[in-house]
Amino acid sequence: MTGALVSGQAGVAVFVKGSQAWCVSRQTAQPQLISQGLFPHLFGDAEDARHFPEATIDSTRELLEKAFREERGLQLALISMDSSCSDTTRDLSEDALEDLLDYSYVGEFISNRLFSRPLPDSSLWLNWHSCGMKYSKVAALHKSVMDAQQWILQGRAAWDAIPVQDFGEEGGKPEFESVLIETGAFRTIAVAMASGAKQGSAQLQLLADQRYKRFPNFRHVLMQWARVIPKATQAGVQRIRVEDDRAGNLIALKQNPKRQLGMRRFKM
Amino acid sequence: MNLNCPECGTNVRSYAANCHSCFHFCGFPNVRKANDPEEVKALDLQYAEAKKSATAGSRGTLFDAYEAFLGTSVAVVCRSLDLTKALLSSEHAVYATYYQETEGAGRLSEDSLFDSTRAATDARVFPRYYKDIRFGALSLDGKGVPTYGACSMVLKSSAISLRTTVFWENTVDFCNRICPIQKEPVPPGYRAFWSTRARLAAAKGQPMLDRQSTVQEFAGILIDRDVFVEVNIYGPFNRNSVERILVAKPTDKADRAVLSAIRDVIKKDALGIAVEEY
Repeated sequence: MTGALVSGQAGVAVFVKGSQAWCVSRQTAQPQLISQGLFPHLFGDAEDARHFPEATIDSTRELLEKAFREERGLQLALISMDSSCSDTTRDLSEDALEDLLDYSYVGEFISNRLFSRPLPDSSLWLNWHSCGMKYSKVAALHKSVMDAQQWILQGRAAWDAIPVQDFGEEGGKPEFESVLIETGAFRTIAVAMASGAKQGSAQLQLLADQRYKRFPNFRHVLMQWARVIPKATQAGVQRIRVEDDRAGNLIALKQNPKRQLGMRRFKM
Repeated sequence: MNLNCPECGTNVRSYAANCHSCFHFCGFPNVRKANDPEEVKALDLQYAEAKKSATAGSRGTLFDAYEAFLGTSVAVVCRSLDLTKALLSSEHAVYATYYQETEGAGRLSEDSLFDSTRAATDARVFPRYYKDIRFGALSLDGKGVPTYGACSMVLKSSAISLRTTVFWENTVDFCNRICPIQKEPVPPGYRAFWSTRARLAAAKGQPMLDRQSTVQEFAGILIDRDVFVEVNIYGPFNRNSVERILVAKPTDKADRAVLSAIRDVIKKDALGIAVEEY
């Protein structure tokens, strides 16, 4: 028995070889030999722990750092759009997020999740304009998420419309969904719609992904879902509109009249 | 210990909190187990021997002082800043058990790292109710075991005292050391219910009490790196169960941001949780 269990949320990893286990954490420089009995204390309520059977003790710290940066980046993005947080907290979070976005996988991790459903009405990001934001990489992330909101909404609605019976077993749909989010499939769908890509190419991309093949009926489900992408290039016309920032906002305003334009967020 | 339901007279299963016939609440199974006369008697014996040993070594007064301090000990759960924020951010977030997470998320393969020692031990110590047990550590100063996370969450006594027991040490380490053969029963005298936790912890800590020991050193005797008295809480807890949080002073921007967000949510939702940096 060997491998590593890694949780970015808990900021901890355990490498196991035979009957011995070593804890790698952000608090300690060197791996510490621990009892396996400590696992529940270490991982407790972490939802993200992943098993890496091929990991070595040396690679475990790298895996932990990556997982930690990804989870931390997502947390900071959520804080940035959380209206219940103070301006000071949001500025701190965006400053820290800007640094983390130096790692391309952090941006990918956050986008994969933010593209899986539309931002809630309470999200401050809906009221901000990217060019009014203080941190350039955070602003770019914000812009990509905001520009895609209508496509995200459609992709989500299409997914939700697939009957649970199509997933074969109880709990199959949420499990499949979590893998699709993790692997960026929702983002693939939204980007395909926004870019005017043809339905067939997105379908092919999804069907080629080996990670979906363990789910019963995966082919039928993915084909059905990808039908949300228009067959014709009509979306290409809309893309031009989306790329024009002002026009993009006008489209969004028509869809959601409650949304306020012009509430730019300037940093002091 | 056999228990008959006080409501309908049916024999209550040792692992059940409720009578299977009339669903009358019959007590938390971990607390009932710690209250078993055999357990109580064996712990009394351990305590008496520890006290006798301390007195013989002219450490009787120190032992009494240590025990008195242990009467104020608290249950602490250590988490990362991110997980602490997640727990505090919603009224509906509950602290799930490690087993619920591994099963619910389907995150590990069947031959995972965990289907081994831990589950086997928990099934021995908390038979058939181990999936309802949350783990923490007993602490005097509110700090938990730092390896487990930067944030020590001190739980309100009122939220846990009726459903919490303490165990001599980490249960897996204990079983590996004291009773490694899986089929052997776990010896009695190493667990206590909440109101008698001081007796158990004093008996355990007695050999570490030196005549020169000071009150300031008591916290370090109770939690000595990864050696501690394990707290076993039956059932869930949420943000309303948390009394205060102790956190190491943040060293980077991201930690400062998340800690600041924790303070914001405490203030916004009037949770009344004190945050102490050290």
